[in-house]
Amino acid sequence: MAVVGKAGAAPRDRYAELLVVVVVIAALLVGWGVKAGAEARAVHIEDMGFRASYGQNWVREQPQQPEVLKITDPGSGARFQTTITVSRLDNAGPSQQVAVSLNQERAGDRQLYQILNGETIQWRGRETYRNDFAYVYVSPDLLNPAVPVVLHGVDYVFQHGAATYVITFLADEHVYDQAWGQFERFLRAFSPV
Amino acid sequence: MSSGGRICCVCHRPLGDEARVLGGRLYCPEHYARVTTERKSVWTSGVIEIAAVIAFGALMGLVAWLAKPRLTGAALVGVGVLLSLIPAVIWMVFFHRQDRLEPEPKSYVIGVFVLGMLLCNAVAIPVINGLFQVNHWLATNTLTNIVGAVLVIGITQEFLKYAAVRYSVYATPEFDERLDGVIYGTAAGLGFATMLNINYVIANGGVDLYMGIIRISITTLAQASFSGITGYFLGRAKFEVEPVWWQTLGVVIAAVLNGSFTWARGEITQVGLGVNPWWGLLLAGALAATTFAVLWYLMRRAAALTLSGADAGQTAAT
Repeated sequence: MAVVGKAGAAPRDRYAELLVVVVVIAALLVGWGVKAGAEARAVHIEDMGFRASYGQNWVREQPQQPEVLKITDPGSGARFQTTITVSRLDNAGPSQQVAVSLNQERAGDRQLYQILNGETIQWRGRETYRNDFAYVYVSPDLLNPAVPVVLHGVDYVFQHGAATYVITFLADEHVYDQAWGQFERFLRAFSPV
Repeated sequence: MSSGGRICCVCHRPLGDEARVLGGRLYCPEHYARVTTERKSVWTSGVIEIAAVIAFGALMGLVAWLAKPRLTGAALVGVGVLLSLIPAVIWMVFFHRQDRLEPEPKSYVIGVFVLGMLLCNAVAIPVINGLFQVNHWLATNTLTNIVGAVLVIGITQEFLKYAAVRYSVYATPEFDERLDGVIYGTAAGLGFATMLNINYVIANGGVDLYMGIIRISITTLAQASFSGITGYFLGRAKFEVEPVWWQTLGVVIAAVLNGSFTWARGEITQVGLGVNPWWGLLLAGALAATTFAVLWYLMRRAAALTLSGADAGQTAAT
């Protein structure tokens, strides 16, 4: 076996150091490729006071106040397309109070509106009010009547500074479980700035 | 007595006939004795530290969950930052206790801890969150999540913790035992974890105390474990002639564990869209205990092989 002091070991140590740096750079380059690939399959939003991303197959719709973002999945069915909306309310009060107001408003203009569950949960370190609900959706297009659909929805209501965010997921009850994963991914990527 | 150009690989003193050989490297008698010493107090302190950090997370988390303190604004941020420092304080207390028995230069250990913090804040967070913007794309699907977590989060963090040791204390005579790799690696990891926790608290404008306390414990246990592994490889690399890819292997193993843990923690703590942090604490506790046990076994085995091996105690004839 070769016996080495510091002087003899130095070149070998330098190669070992260099190899670490080369492998790290290579890994980061591949990581950049993974990032680029993932981003090519998603749309990113950064300029609305929050960061979010969603699949490229989703369609961005015109939001209605207080919504600031509305996206739908055109592949989720002909009678109702799975929808995610983000609303921002200023100085609206505690999350639970906002959810109660939402429920009252919906109960007035949606058919057979039912609150399924309401609870305060922890979501990404924040106190968040989760509101599960359902109602019957009747197509407003009188020229093309369709069988009403039972929709299942969930609101995530939380405060960030002076603003209250409401993220709402809404889907036909038949595709609700299937679409849930997409909502989870949307939520994981969502962060107020 | 001529040294014939031979020097101790630790203190670089010229060596004569008293030169000892270990793993193909030359030592003076003093440093040969140190390299082969088994330091029980380090391992005992390590076990107590892991238990103390888990207990801190579990007990304080439970208290916060039961008491539900209503803090907001600056008070919430301030308390969160203070809580972020507690695992480091626990480590310092136990390090001080162990250090009285078998001293390690405090300035070096604290220096590596601070270097870990600085590299985390100045390089890791800007690279991972700013340059790679992992929050935007990591959750796209499971494969992207795991591969991205390993290649970006794992590699960046583990390389920087490796660098905090490799380019500071590693080259000094104070790094004079194989176990020093684990000690300094852990110090770098704890500094890293402390800064990650402080950054998380500030970036979120404070965190829910119940979730925050447990998260702080999880991050601390995990980061210290990963860098302990890298440190083990560094310790072996300095005192034995290992293959050129040895240090790289250490960083890669730590990075794979780091990325896999990042993904697994997200998966097991997720309950629907809510979070149950206790599973994360359990996972981090198991990771720390397993890593610690494996490192303890590997160190003992290396010491036993050294003492009973063919070149143990040999004086260098060449």
